[in-house]
Amino acid sequence: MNLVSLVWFLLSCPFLFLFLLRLGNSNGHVECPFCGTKKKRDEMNCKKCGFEFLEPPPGPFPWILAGGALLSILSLVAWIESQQYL
Amino acid sequence: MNENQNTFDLTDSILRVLGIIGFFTAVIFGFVIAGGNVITLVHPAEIFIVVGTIFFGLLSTHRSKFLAYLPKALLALVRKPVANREYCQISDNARGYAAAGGGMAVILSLICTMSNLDDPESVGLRVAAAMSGVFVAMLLSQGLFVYLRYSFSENASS
Ligand SMILES: [Zn+2]
Repeated sequence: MNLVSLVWFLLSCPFLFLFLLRLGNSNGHVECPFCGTKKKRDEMNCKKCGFEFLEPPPGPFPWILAGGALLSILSLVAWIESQQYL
Repeated sequence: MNENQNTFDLTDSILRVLGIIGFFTAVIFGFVIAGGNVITLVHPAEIFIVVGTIFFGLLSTHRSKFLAYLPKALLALVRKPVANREYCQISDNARGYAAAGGGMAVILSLICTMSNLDDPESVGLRVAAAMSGVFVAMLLSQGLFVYLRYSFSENASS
């Protein structure tokens, strides 16, 4: 069996997970989830109601996640093919 | 924020329950159509890590407020709740803990897999178990806690 692709998959699957989990967060850093007040980039709390934001400000991080997610899917495909299940 | 919680809206409740059941059914039913066996989704160790992380994480952060939140959240699945910043916040934090729990379940399954690579039979199963931890965390986060966070928000009551 091809262990290299399996190890690559295992190493990168947390990125895939985080990438998928963040898909629903697209507007999480735009406005307060509770009162809808517009939020600035580096604010940790809502100015109006005090809601604490969990989402960190956007940066290069989403692209690292997307790259890791792609890597994990490609290595999974490579591993499945090396198993000759197909 | 008016406290007219006792005005029970039947249509609202029916649509709410239909939506939630529909969400989970669509996912599971799709899996079955694709030829999956539902039993293979159930990996107690991963589910325990994810659900345990969410439960005890919230218990440590919000303590008695979290215990008060539990029945309110269950009720919010069938009827429109009153907007509440604390409960909205707890639902949002639950998503963070679901992410943490899912991530830890994956990494722990990874350690399990890595330390048993000489047993080829079990590698596929262990990878499947790691994936099922991700699945449970995502299902709870996107299917349940996004819904709860929105339901307890002021946006939902306008
Ligand atoms: Zn707010």
